[in-house]
Amino acid sequence: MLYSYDLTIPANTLASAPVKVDMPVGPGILHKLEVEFPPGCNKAVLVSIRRGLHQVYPTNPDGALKANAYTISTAEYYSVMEAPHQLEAYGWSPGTTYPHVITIRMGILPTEVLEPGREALTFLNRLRLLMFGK
Amino acid sequence: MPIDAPDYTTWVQTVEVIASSPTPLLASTETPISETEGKVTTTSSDYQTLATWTISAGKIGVLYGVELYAVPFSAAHFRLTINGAIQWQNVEFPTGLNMIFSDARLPAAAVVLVEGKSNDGSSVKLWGHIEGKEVG
Repeated sequence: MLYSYDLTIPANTLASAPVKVDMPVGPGILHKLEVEFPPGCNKAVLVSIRRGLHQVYPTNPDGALKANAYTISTAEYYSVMEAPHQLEAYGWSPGTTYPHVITIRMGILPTEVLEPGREALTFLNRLRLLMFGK
Repeated sequence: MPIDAPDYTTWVQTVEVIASSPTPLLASTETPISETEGKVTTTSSDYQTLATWTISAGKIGVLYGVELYAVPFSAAHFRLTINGAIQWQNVEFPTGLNMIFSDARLPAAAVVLVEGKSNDGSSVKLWGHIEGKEVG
């Protein structure tokens, strides 16, 4: 499953009052994240992705995603099996003259698709993997 | 200067075009100037006006040249004043003179004045001419 959301950031949106778009997804593992910055952003447009109050991307809470004519693409393994099945994208662009549209794409798959052998493991083998890692 | 550009603008090129040749002015903005008092006959040793041009309000004066002539030259003195400054005076020329000012720009209300007189009290015939244009 691939989800795609647009985050429209008006010109000169301050960090103290960022715009936000809710991104509901189905339950599963977020295994792929893409954040597309079109040409013109010039690293002046900043984006963070949160789940509730917790900032998920970028991992460092004081950081923000920014780029120009570049799609930040990363392989992930972030569980949204439990509610809320939603992430939120926040955007701001202090000092800019033009509005910008940032596209966020998320690949979500069930655990059994990402780890097809996992269901075949016995409870003891899962316990052994959990305890000893092999 | 903006720190960003509209979406999907990969780069912005700014071109400033500077004309390599003067832009022709509208004919209605230019007025030819040709000033003379014609022949002035005098025995006076006080300067007489031979030609004068006062640049009109709101215009720019473009001075092309000044011409002088006298009969006889040996009995004539001339004076030229441009915008309040006497260029020369009490000068006797051996023959007619055409002075070129190469489109010198003069402000509104500036006066170009050509004068002449008799330098010995004898009768002298004098001519002066100013040519230029007013722009604006």
